[in-house]
Amino acid sequence: MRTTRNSLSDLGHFSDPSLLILSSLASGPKHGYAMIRDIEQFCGTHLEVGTLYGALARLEKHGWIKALEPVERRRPYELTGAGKAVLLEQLATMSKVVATGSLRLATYEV
Amino acid sequence: MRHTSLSRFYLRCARYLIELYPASWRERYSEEMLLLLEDFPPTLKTIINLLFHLFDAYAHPHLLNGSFPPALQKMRSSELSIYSSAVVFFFARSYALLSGAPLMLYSRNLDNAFSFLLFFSTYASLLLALLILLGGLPMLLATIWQAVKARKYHVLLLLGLGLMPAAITVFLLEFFGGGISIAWVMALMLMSSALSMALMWLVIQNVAPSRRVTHLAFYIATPLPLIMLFCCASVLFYMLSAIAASGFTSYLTNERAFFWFSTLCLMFLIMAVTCSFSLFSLLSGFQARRATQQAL
Repeated sequence: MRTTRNSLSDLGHFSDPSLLILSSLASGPKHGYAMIRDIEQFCGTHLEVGTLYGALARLEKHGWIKALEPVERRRPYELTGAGKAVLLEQLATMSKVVATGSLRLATYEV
Repeated sequence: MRHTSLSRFYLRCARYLIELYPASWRERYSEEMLLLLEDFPPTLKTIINLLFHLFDAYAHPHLLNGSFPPALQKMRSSELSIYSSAVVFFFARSYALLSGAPLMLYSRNLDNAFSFLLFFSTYASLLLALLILLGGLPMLLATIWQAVKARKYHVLLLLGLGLMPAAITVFLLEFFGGGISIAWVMALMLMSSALSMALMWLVIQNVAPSRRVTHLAFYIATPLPLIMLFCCASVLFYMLSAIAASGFTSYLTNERAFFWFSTLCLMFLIMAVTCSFSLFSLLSGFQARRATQQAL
């Protein structure tokens, strides 16, 4: 599969958690606790602490999220413009996969 | 959120693991991570997750430094890889000789030239052990000194734990070597080397490198892969000559000969893998050394 540069696939095994985090931040800035709860709610996945901060460090390094000033000891993160573009690109690819898979399943005969 | 006694235990473990993260990670994320652990009582899965990401944090320190790993640190990692693979190689070669000795009696037509080659490679492997000591010891002492100076006592603990597997293995082989099968010996040796290497790697990530000692250890490490290559070649020639002398089918028909020969092949495989790994690490070390010289 051809991948574009500066895509989530650059993050290796952190690509899935990163997608979840970017999707969560698409609705506005959140701190770690809020992200985990939000992700649990929309896809049923519980991100462990190590995974969350491993992904956050990579997303910050790429400039796709930005850390804000702490509020009551909790530091919120927000999506940057570049992060929004990467998320849109990834979701567009996944939509194509979903559409293709659904169409093929509909016509699949056992 | 209410914590049970088990989750309190896991919380203590998790806090300890976070203390082992690199300083830059702790400065940046420890408070947030600890708050989350209060909100979500940790489980065994959390501990395993933190342990895995502890190694990940050390493997990618540039994520928070804003720059790629310092060249000197990369040199130290290469040296550690070379010395560790040389230690495993030394054990594998010693056992190759032990398993090959009955083979020599079996293959009575073995040419003396190959015995002569083995004689030289025996001295080469002793030189290997000497170089490991000469290069590894200054690194070890410098690391202890840096840890004491910086009052990083948990690093000293890691260092002690890193040396223990090797010491325990030597003790077990010394006192029970005759009663343990070769497969168990090799498994024990490989596990202890892997554990020691992992702990030593953690140690060198936690203390500042000494430029002089790092360069000295690298110069001493340079001939190690070449010696290993020579020993590999000598064992390979020995194996081929044994096949040529007695015929390959004779090793298949005789049970004991088959056992010795297959053990020898296994040892040779381990030697080849460790030799390749050390050559690769040497190249990586040279690149890092060039980068340190360019930075000056």
